[in-house]
Amino acid sequence: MPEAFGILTLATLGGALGVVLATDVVHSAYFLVLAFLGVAGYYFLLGGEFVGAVQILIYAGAVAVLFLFAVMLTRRRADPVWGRSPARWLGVGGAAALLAWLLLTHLERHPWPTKLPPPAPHNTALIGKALFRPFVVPFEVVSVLLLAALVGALLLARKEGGAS
Amino acid sequence: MGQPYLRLAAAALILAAFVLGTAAFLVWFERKLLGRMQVRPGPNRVGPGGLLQPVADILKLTVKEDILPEHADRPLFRLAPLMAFVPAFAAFVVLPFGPGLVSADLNIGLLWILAVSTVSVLALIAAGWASNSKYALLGGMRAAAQMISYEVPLVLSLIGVVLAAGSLRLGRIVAAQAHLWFAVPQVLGFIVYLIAATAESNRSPFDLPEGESELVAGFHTEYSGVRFAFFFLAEYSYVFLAAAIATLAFLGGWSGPFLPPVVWFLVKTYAVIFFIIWLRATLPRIRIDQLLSFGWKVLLPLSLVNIFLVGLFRFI
Amino acid sequence: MMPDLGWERGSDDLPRAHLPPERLPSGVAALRQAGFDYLICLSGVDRGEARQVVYHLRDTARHREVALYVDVPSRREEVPSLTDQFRAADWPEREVYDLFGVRFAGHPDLRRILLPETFLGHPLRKDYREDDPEVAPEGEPELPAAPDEMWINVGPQHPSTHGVFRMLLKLSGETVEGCRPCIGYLHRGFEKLAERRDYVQYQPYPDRWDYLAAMNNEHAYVGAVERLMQLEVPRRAEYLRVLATELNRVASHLLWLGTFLLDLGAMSPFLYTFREREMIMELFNELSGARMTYNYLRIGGAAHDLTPELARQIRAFLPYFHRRLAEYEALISDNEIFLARVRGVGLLPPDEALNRGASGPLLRASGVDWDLRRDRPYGAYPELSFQVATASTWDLHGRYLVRLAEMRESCRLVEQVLDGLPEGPHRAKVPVRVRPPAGDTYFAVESPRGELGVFLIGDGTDHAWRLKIRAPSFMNLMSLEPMLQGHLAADAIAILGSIDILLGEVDR
Repeated sequence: MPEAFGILTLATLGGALGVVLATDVVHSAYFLVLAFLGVAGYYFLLGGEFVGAVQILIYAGAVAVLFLFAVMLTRRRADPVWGRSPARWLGVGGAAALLAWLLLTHLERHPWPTKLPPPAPHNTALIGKALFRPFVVPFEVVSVLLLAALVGALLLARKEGGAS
Repeated sequence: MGQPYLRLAAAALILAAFVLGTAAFLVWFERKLLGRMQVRPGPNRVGPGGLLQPVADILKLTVKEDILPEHADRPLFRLAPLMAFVPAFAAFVVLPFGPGLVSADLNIGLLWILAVSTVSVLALIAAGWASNSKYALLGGMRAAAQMISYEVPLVLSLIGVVLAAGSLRLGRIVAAQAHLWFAVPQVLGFIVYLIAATAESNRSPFDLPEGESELVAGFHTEYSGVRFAFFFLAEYSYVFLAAAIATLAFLGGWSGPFLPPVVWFLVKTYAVIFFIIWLRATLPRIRIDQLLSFGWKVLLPLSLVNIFLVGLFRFI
Repeated sequence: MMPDLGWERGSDDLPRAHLPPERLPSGVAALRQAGFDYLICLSGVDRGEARQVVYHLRDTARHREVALYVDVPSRREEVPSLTDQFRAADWPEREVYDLFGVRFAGHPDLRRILLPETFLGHPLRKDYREDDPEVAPEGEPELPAAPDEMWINVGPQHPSTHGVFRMLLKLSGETVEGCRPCIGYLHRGFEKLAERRDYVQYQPYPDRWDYLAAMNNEHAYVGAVERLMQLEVPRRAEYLRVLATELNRVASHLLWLGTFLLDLGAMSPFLYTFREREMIMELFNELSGARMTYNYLRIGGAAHDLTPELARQIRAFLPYFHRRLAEYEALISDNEIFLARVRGVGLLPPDEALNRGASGPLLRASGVDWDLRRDRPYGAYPELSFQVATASTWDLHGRYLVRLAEMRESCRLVEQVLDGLPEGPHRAKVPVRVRPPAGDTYFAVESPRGELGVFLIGDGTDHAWRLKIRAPSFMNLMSLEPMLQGHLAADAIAILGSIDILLGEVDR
């Protein structure tokens, strides 16, 4: 439905703008959650419901929580908020404009397909098969990487906390 | 042109009414049941058998003064209760009450429910943060830590079910239990699920965020009136949700002789809810360090063992 | 073995010695060497011409007790502190300073304890005038804390502090590093009141000290007066007193059990224990006419006799209660979560407990086998048989087990009383004007919270000269801080609950 696309775009872009423009970092984090949810919506529209659900589960549910913990536990309420000076606006605006020009000109030139293939009906199962056959090695490597991160986090917490 | 929108709106309204109605009913159900277990009658004045007590409570909360803490983060403070409630709605969308009795039978049904439930953690954190109180913040963090820790065994215990049924679609999962409820071969997974789900909903014995005997105030300390009502109703919605998933995934969903499927579904779901309330009446509260230790060191390995066993038997 | 401090026999047959202040520390040290390991009671007295501090000490192993009388010099009212020898002297010395103005040299933190820090005057002095100005404007002192520490306030209004009790906890992260209890919110001046009422008029007051164990309070008071009067109480009356106090012990422990579990998060046992308590309240109502402030034990005996009907009702209650106790044990004692919350939590080693003046189930759960009913018997207890429960774990679990066992034993005692109730009057003939000869006496009973003692000084008139209440909760609270050390904040409430304090007797 085109209306759904419109709403999702509003959410995603609005969220993204909110991340950048919000004065309070915690607000930025929550705007980011909005952006994540918008992207998840795109996945659903494209027929990738598994990826969409995982996007919500992982990004909105875990990564965002991680951001929030990090922000809330490391700052004091009285932290100075980013200033808004004209120089800053100019600098950021200029960089954004440059990036936009680069992206748009290249986007225009690239031959994007205008018709998508119909979404595969059992794409969850297909993804699963892909992870365990052609992509099994990267899958296992990423698992080990995550395990290393987990153990590292535990060790760091232990060293600081002493007990437990 | 307006047809699909009208249907959407109608479906959403019916669902909303159902969720709110269920949550309100559960308020009465819990208080009555707790009362009886504690040798007292429970609510019995408002309405027949006290059935209108939740109405009275919600009305009371609605007319209360809206108090905002002085240096609270206003937008977040206002947003948090909604953030707690909306995921419950979203999850109810895929719940089947009977064969075909579902708003949207997504083929990733179970995963959708799990994904959407995790968003509610953000609400707790927001509530704790926005209250501008050191203790509410710590309470919110603690609640979040608890919920995150128990998400893992929760999801893992359900993976056994998904493996056995070969699908994430809730209708398929129920159908796969036509001969034998999954609770029997996967009794370990069932137990892990029940414990993890109780912890996820912040219910006793895992109700640290609400415990008055805890020094650290809960995340919803500064909330009163309608906002508090939202948290309150959201909690009960999650209880129903958790019990409904237990029914669908482990207790054969709507299957059962003689009675219509919806009735069986509700009977089984309420049986699980009865058990959850029974836990609250009976058990003392577990301490935060013991809770986290239990989640990671006991439940997680057990849920992995469950998956392993299921996989083994599928293989054989 | 006893150091020579110039002993004489007091009116109640207790060896007493008068010491000048400078000889106090060495005298006490010598007594400690000789085995006196327990400071029972530290009282301030205003003798009129000067103040006096009276120390009661005990040798728990050999069951000996002595009293030391130290006259406070009038010019500079100061006496050496005993806190370096007995931690149990800490709060009592603060109380004497608060109410009498006597200073204690060497006390680590000599400030008021019952009255506000900005109070003017010392009310228990005989020269105190009630119409003098009382309080200067209030101010909260700044508490020192290192950068990673924070003080948080618990109480006085809090669902779990068992009365108007306030404690400030110093937290370093999640761990409790220190604790600063603040009491006095329920101070009602019971000791001063005793000087303003005659002995008979004062009888309804003791009910209100520890209002959950009212019978025990009454027993302590009338027992002290009777000692002073050298009055013989009829055997039947003594048996009735045991009946009343033991049933009261059950009721008190029932309330403790319910609230302790409530503190741990289990809400249902509270309602079950109150159901049994309600029955006991009804029995007491039949016996004395009231549910809580009984005014039943009087000087010379008991106010009313036990009717056969009431005896029958009590007998019917006992087996019902035994079944309920079994239910409680089944519900609670083996519960994993309960055990995880109480085992190894709130440890109080026995030598700490003794040195800090702990008594009652708190002391017995730390492994010290001491019970006044058996070791300093009074009333009808020498004729009755009962077990004293102790625990060797020093933790919350031990205190739970001890109180549970005590409830059982109390029921056994009640049965024995009903079976062996002697005939005779339920009260001795007491003159209308009660005018005991002058003298000092210390009489103590084993209340549900510990040693409840009354140090009574009579001057030959019908009014008491000084009534000092040795409240077990007050003394037991001094053990709170060491028990909290190193524990998580979550355990603080449970540990406080395990002491079973009652603010009415803490503050008096």
